[in-house]
Amino acid sequence: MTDCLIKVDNLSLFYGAKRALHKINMAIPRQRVTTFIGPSGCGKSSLLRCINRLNDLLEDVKIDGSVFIDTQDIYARSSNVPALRRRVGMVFQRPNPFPKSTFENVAYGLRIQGFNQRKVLDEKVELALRKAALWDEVKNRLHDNALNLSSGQQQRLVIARAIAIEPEVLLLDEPASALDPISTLKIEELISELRNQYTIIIVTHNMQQAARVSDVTAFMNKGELIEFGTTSQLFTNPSKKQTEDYLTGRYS
Amino acid sequence: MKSWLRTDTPWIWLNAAAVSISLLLVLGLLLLIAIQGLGHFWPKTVAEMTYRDEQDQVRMILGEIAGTNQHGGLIAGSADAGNETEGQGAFQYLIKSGNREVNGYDFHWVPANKIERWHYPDQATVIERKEWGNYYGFIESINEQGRVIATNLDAWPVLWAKLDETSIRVTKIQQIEKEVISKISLQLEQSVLRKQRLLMENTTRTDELSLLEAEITGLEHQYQRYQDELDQLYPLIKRYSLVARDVDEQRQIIPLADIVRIYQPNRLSGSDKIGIYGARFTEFITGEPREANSEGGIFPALFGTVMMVIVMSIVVAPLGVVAAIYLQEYAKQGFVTQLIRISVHNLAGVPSVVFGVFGLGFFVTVLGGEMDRLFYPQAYPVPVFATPGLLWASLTMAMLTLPVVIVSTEEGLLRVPRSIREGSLALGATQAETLWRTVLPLVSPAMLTGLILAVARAAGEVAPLMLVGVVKLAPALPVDSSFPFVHLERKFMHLGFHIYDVGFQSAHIEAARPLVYATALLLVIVIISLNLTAVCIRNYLRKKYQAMEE
Repeated sequence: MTDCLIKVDNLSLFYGAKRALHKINMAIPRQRVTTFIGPSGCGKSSLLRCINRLNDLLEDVKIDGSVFIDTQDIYARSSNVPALRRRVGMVFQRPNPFPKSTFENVAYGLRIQGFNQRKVLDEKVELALRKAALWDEVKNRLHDNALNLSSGQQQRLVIARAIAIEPEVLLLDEPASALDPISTLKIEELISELRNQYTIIIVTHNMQQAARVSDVTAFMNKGELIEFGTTSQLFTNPSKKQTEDYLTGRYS
Repeated sequence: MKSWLRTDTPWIWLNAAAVSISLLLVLGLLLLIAIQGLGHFWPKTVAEMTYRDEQDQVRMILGEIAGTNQHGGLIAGSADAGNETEGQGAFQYLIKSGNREVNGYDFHWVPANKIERWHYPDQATVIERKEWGNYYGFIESINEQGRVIATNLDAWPVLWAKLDETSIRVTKIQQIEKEVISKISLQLEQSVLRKQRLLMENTTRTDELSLLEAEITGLEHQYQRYQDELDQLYPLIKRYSLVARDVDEQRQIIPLADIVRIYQPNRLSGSDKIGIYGARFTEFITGEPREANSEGGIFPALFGTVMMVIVMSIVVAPLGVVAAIYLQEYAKQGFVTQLIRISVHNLAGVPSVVFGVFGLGFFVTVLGGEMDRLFYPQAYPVPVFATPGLLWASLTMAMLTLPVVIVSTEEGLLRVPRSIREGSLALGATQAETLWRTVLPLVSPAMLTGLILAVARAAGEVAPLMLVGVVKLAPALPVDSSFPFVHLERKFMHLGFHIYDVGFQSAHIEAARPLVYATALLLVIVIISLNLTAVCIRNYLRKKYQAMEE
């Protein structure tokens, strides 16, 4: 855990008067899979959305402290938010493909960056779809509406859309919670394949999933970071009582 | 019974009844105006009646039966106690007997119980004329410069031939008057204005001035040449005329050039009648009004209405959408934004005539006056834009319908799921890129809904238009072949105002009533077809962006 890409520094977040995150400090390793676990409402998703500044959109949000990516303060006044979001891709809980064709969905981020040549787009879209293990299923209907895909396929499409613009970090917000077991399995396999190329952060409710796919785990509760460590250590030998209670199901 | 009341059934029946009543009202309305309006064009048979008038004198009348009335004994009838058996009063026929120059009126009431004889003469002829309305009578002869060239039986073939000959010349004259001469005079006017402008600027460019003067002289020569040609054509169309006699044996000379249509309704076969119906209907849609709008067509009004709505849409759609985007996407949602939103919504409730007054005061006087001062100083004191016209009417209508577009666009924006926006932003799109590439396409059906409502409202509005540009009779369409082709400063005609004008301001209200219905029907059709177009586009867009419905 020496090579740290993202450093969360004393981060607090308030929705109006309500405090959602309290002085979080965390160092997320480069090109590893990190999971955030914890009970509902503990602030894992809020923390995740701080990393690509998606919380900025909400009214009445106040953020203290900061987040550094490669020593660059993303909450600095000079920070370019769209550029940040190009480095930090995100996949949401429910698949949210745009009402366009499969091809156009994947090409969306590329077009925004100014790639318009057909050849370049074709190549990059195919590459992204192959990485997301979706190419074989959609190669014959690239120009059909993406909403006709199954939700498992849609979720992989959204992952392809995110990796098409070659980000460094991938944020996955409960990526498999709305999917059936087979689709979940495919997503997990996909995450394992992507782990060497990206720094991946996953929010999940599924303990087994966290144990299966991640290298590092953070356990959060009530807006605070309780424990942060390698997955094997945290799951087998948690140092905090709260973590142990949660993992063994005694959490109330 | 009590248990029945507690079930859902009575409630469902009540709702269903309300829907049925609304539906019946709408259908009844459409049916009424359709029947009244479309029946007008059917050639009716012509009856000759012999009856006794109030002074008990025998009179004859020839004409179409235009209506009936169960009169409460206000006219004649009541003195005749013996004929009161019908109950409420005498039954009367409304006869359209035409021949306005002789009788003074187009219509007469004839009490049914005073009619002694009634038949449909074969030879009865209806002549639709450009002036003085219809003539009902019998053809005696065809004259060429006062000399009889055909009588009675031979008259018809000669008549058709000569009518054709005359109509070709009339068309030629109309073409010269409407297209050539008006174009030349417009150019002449523009050149003279340019010259005045040069003189006002005390220009030293004498070569340009002399060039303009040469142009003006050239145009004046052209004008004179066509005027001479017209002078030669006019006597030619007056060459032929027909002599007709009415039912009272009075003779009347009618120049063939004055005849719009001539037929003998009692001899017509079914297909002939359909032919005449089609011709009259076509004339109604594509022709220009005659006789203070109470005869002829309504094309200028139709054109004006559609044109006004289109110009309005071009203005209101972008403006409303952009305003809604600001209110919904960029403005900080707080007290001030809410206040603005409420004000915009309430703007929709302001009486339309108030917008008309505003349009007159602001657009016409202030904006138009300023434009004239800046761009047309040479025309002073003749106003170009500082007078009511199509542009100002469209802008006023755009003001009037702006709230509708804003409200429905805002609602559309609210319905776009947050996940779609976040998806786009998370890919590094800016807020503007997200709007243009993802949100606005999804909102487009809602925008069209707003536009549909705006168009429906604008096309039916009359009161404000009377202040800002609609006239009873516009001399020219707002679009023609002379530069710059679209003349937004011109005054225009409008179907809604046409209905008001024909129905309430014309001298022959009886004659005009069917036209009111026909015009109303056309107005409804125009609005429906404008809306159907928009609805089709909207449905296409909805299908394309079905994510909205999830």
